[in-house]
Amino acid sequence: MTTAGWLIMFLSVGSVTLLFAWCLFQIIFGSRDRRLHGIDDIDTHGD
Amino acid sequence: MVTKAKTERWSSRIGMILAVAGSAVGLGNFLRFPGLAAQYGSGAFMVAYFISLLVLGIPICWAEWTLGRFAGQSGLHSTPGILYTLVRHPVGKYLGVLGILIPLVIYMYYVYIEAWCMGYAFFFLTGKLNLGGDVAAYGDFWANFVGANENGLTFSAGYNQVVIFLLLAFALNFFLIYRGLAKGIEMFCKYAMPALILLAVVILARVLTLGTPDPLKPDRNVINGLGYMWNPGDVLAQLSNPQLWLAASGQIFFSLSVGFGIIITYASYLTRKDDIVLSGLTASAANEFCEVALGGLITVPAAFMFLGAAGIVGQGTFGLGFKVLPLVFSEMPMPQLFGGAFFLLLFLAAVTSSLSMLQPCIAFMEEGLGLNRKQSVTLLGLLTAIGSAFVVFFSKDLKALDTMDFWVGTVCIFIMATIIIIIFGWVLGLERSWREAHRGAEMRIPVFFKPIIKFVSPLYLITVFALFILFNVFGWNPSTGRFEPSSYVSDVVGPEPSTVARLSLALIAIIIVFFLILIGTAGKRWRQTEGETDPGR
Repeated sequence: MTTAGWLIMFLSVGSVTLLFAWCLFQIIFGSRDRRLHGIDDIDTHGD
Repeated sequence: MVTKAKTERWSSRIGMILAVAGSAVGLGNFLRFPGLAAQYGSGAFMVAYFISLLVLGIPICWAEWTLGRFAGQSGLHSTPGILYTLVRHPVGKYLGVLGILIPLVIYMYYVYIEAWCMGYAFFFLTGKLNLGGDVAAYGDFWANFVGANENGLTFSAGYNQVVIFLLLAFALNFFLIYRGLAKGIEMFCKYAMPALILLAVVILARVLTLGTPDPLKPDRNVINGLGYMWNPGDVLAQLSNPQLWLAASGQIFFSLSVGFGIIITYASYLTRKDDIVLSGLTASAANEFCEVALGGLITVPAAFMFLGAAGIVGQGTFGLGFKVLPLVFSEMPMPQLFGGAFFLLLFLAAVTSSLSMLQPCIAFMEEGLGLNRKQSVTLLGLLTAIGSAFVVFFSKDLKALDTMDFWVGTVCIFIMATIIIIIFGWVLGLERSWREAHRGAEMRIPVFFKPIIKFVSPLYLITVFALFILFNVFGWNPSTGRFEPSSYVSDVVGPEPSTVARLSLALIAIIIVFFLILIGTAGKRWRQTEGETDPGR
């Protein structure tokens, strides 16, 4: 396996694993306070 | 509000995310992606793949989540109902026929492949799939099992095992769909998705610790297997190949299940303030993890270690999955355990996907025709049984399956996704869609996605679709500049047409007309309910 092969494998596998882990962390431990309440009041039905 | 009837809801956020991820994670993650990446030279392929994920996959996912949740507040959950709400024009609801046709027709043949996975898991676990070291023996076994040599073979005595597995798969799907969204789909995905990932991690650990399986062939080792999968070729030269971009964007597109009418239906069961930005990204990330990190490290490296490069080239998805890999697992230590685990993994991935294909039709029958759950499940069971029987009977060279997969499972999906992204960015309007997406959001979509969603995604999608039609329908050869219509066209209008291909297209046309008539009826019902609810409209 070439150095470029290792690099591509680690970048590809690492990036999707990190993204998935980050998302799971946010879902499980993320605070509900970070909800963007400021835009909750916009009524789009009236447009 | 179209209806005030009590609507179904997801019971938990994680269950809903797992259901969407389960819909996306399928056979393509473990069989199609690794084959394409190795075929096109992983470096260039992954560049095109990640660009497609950013400009096509994730934006369209967010669009589907947003439109589904938005329209779902009116009480409608099927694509015709959702487009009836979003497109204030009588034609709107009829565009939604694609959101019924696509999952319904794909289910008709996908459940057949699901039955193969169940059968192979059973054969491995019971020790009946150890046919020695000749890949041809596995090819013959597969051809006889699925009836690829002769039409109607699987209905004759001695060859009908697959029909039993098909009936079992059908029963499982319809039992879960009858239980409903939360008690059926969500409950199953809550267990099946973690089990699927766990099985994949165990198999991955096994593959990565195989070392050099045959000491007489020292070059067939785990490092070279990974190298075959991930070593790049001439990246710049490969990136100039339009077929590579077509393959990469197609893979992203089909892998994430965008344009199927499924995500839009699932999202419509959310409440108005449920987060969709983070949830949508998580479901997409789960799919990418299964595809790149698990599928990318298991299938091709394992096949290389036992068969070398020559055993993998040109096998295609079914060849890799049902001829090469059974041999690979048979040659491994503890073949029953690992072979059984792998096909059980594929079976779970297939069930979580096929379940999601039934829900849009169930939703339409309930809200559009006023059927109750038992009636809608019965009608849908009848329709899908007829379609699947057609696919199973016309099994020679898998012609019916292949024809339906091309015209509905590929062409129609492009059209549906284009409709969705245009409604999001242009019909509903980007600013309004953007605000709607962020209602209750737990993270913000980076602002650079605005021009991507408005301009880049539709243009990219239309370009890819045009290239797809050019290469795969008209058969354009860029090196000679000549057009040679593909087999999908010549099978229908060529000098030697295929009766099965023509019958398959006729079946698709009948389904379209049937549902267009039902959508017309449903439209009257929705207008009537709307008038009763809001007489001033």
